[in-house]
Amino acid sequence: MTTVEPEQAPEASGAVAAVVVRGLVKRYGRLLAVDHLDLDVPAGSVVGLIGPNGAGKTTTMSAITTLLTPDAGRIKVFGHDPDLEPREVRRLVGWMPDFFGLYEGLTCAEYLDFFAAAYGLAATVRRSRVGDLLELVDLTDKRDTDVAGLSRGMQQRLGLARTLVHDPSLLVLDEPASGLDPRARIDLREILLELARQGKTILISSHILAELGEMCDRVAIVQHGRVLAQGTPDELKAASRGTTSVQARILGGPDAVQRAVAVALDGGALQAVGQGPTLFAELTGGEDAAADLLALLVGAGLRVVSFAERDGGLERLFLSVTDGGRS
Amino acid sequence: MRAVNPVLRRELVERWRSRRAPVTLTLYLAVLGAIMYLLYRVGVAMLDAQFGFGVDAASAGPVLGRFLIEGLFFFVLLLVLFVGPGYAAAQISGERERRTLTLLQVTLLGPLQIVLGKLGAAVAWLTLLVTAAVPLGAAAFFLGGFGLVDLLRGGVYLIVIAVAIAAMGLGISSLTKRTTGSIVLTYGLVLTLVLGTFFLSAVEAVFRATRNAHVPTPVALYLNPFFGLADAVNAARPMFFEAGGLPSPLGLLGQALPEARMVDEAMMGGAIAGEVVEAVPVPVEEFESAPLVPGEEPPPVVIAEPDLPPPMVAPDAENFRPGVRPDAGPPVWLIVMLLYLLMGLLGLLVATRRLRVTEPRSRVSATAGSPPRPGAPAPAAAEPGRWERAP
Repeated sequence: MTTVEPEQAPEASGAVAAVVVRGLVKRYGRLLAVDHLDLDVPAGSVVGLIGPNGAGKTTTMSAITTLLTPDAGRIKVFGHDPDLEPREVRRLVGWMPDFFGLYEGLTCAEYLDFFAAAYGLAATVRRSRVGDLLELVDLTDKRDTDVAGLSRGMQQRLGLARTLVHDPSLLVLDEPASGLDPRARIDLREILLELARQGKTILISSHILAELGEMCDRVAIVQHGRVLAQGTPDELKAASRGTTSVQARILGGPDAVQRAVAVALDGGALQAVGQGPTLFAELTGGEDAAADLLALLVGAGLRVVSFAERDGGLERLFLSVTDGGRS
Repeated sequence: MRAVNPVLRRELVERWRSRRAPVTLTLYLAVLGAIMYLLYRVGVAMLDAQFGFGVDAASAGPVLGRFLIEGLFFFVLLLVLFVGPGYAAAQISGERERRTLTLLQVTLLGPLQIVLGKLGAAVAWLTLLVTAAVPLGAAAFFLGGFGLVDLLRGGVYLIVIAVAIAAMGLGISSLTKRTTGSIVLTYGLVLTLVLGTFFLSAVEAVFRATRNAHVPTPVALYLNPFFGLADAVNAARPMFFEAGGLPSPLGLLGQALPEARMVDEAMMGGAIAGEVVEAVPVPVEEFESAPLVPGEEPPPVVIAEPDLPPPMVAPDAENFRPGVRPDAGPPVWLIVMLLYLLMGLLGLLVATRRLRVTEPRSRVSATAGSPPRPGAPAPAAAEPGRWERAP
C-alpha cells in the first residue's frame, strides 16, 4: 500500500514536542484499529483528536498512556517511549478514559487520596493536593460525599481531578465532554482552559468538533485509524472546502495501480492511495477536478474500468464532525 | 518507613464500610457456635453411652476436650473454605468490572504491588476468621486433652492453607472477565481439592487393594486440606473407645495417615479409659446424688477423702500429652502446607503477569540483530524501518 500524507507532519522545530507519534499500527485480531497514524502535539498546546466512533482515537490514546503495546510505529512522550520506559511516561501523563471507574464507599477526598498514594505521593503532599484539586474542579463542598452519589458532570470533574493528582505535564482526555449537559460542558471547558493557562499540554478527543469548539490550538481529524488532516481549526476549514473524493478501478495489476497513484499525485490530488485494484483519491475542487483526473489517468495509458465519486470524503467527514455527527 | 500499600488500605476501608464483612463474620460465628454446642452435646452423650450412666463432662476432661478441639478445627476450616475464597475471587475481576483496573495500571503501582495489596486484604480477612473462632474453643481449653503446640500448629496451618487458596483465587480472578465466572471457578477448585481428592484416593485405595494387601496412604490425600489438618493437630490415633477417644471428623480422617504418624497408644496413656471408668464415676455420682436442699444433713464429702486417687484431670492430661513416635517420618501437615504454598505462589505469579499492561517484548533493534519474539506481528519484514525502536 502506498500512502502519501496530505501534509507531512513537521518535526518539532524549536518548540519541544510533548507527543510525537509516527506510523502507529494496532490490530485487534483482523481489525486494523490504527493504521500508520502520525500525530504531533507541541508542548503547551491543546490538541483535539476528532473523528467518528471507532476511528482509532481511544487506541491511539491508550498507546500514548502506556496501556497497550503498538504492533508497529514509534511514540515519544517528552522524549520517552511509553513501551520501553512506562514509568517515566506514567509520571508525566494524566489519563482520563471515556468511563468513570467507581470505588463505592469512598468519599471524593478519599478517592483522590487513593490515586495520589498510587502515584507514590507522601501523605502530607496528598492532603494539600487533594484540597487544591477539589477546589479547582469546584467539588470542595462534595469533599465527604460518597463517590457513587455524584452526578455525571461531577463525576467527570472528579475524574479530571484524578488525572491531575500527580501534577502531570500532559493530559490525555478521552471524550471528556460526551454525555454532559451544556452547563457542565462549559464548566469543563473553563477548567481545561485554566489548565492550559498553567502550561499543561492537553490532548483531547471527541467525535464532535463543536464540543471542543475554539479551545483547541490544533485539530487532527482521524478516520479509519489514520490522521486525514491536521492543523489549526481555521486551516482545516479552508482545506476541506470543496474537496472531492473519487475511486477508480484500474486493470493491469498492482504496478498499474501504483502508476495511477503517482499520476493522481502529480495531478494535484491531496491524497492518493492504492488498495487492491482500486485507486482512492482526495481532490481539491469539485466535479471538474474529478473529470480532469480521469482524463489524466486515461491519457497516461491506464485502463480505467470504473470511476466514481465516493462518500466519506474529507468534506463530508468534516461536516459530520462539525455538525454533531449526524451522518 | 515505607507507606502502607494504597491498594491494601483502600480494600480494608471499602470492605469494612460495606455491610457485607460484619454480617458475614456474625453469621460465621453464629454457625460455628451452634456447631460447637452440638458437638459438646454429642460428645457428652457418647461418653454417657460409653459408661452407661451419667458422666459429668469435666471428669471425662481430656477425651471430651480433644473431641471438641478437633471438631472446632475441622469446622473452622470447613467454614473458612466456604467464606474465604469468594472474597479473593472477586478482587481483580471486580476491579475489571468496575473499570478501575486500567486506572490502577496507569499509575506508578506495579502489578506486584496491586496483587500484594489484594493478597494482604485477603490475609487480614482470613486471619480474622480464624482468630475470631478462638473463644469458641474456650470449653475445650478448660477440659484439656491437647497441647499448646497442637493449637499453634493447627492455627498456622489453617491460615496458611486459607491464604494459599485465596492466592489461587486471585490468579483465577485475574484470568476471568466476570466476577461470577471467577467465583464459580474458584469454588470449583476448592471442591476439587476437598472432595475430588477423596474420590481419587478412594479409587487409588481400591486399585491398590486388589493387587497388594498393603494399602499405603493414597497420594491424592496430600492435596486435601483436612487431611493435613488432622496431622497438624495430632488427631491420628486408633479410633476405639478403649484407646481413649471420641470419633471426631478429624480423628476419622487421621485413620488414613501413614501408620508412623499415628499417635502412640502408650504415649497417649493407654490406661485413660480404664481409669476413667473405675475412678471418676464414684465421687461424681455421690456428689450429684446428694440432696442440695438447705437445712438437711450435709452430703458426705467423698472427694476430700485421703485414700482416693488424686483428682482426675491433672494426671490424665499429663498422660494424654500427645506425641508421635520418634520414627514418625516426614510430617504430613508440612508436606500439605508446602504443596498449597506452591499452588498459591503459582496463583500470585499468574495474577502478576496478567496485570502487566504492555507485553514485555524483546527490544528489537536493527543493529542488535536479535531474532524477533515468536508470535510477534509479521509485517516487520514488509515494512523495514517501521519496527526499529530507539535503543
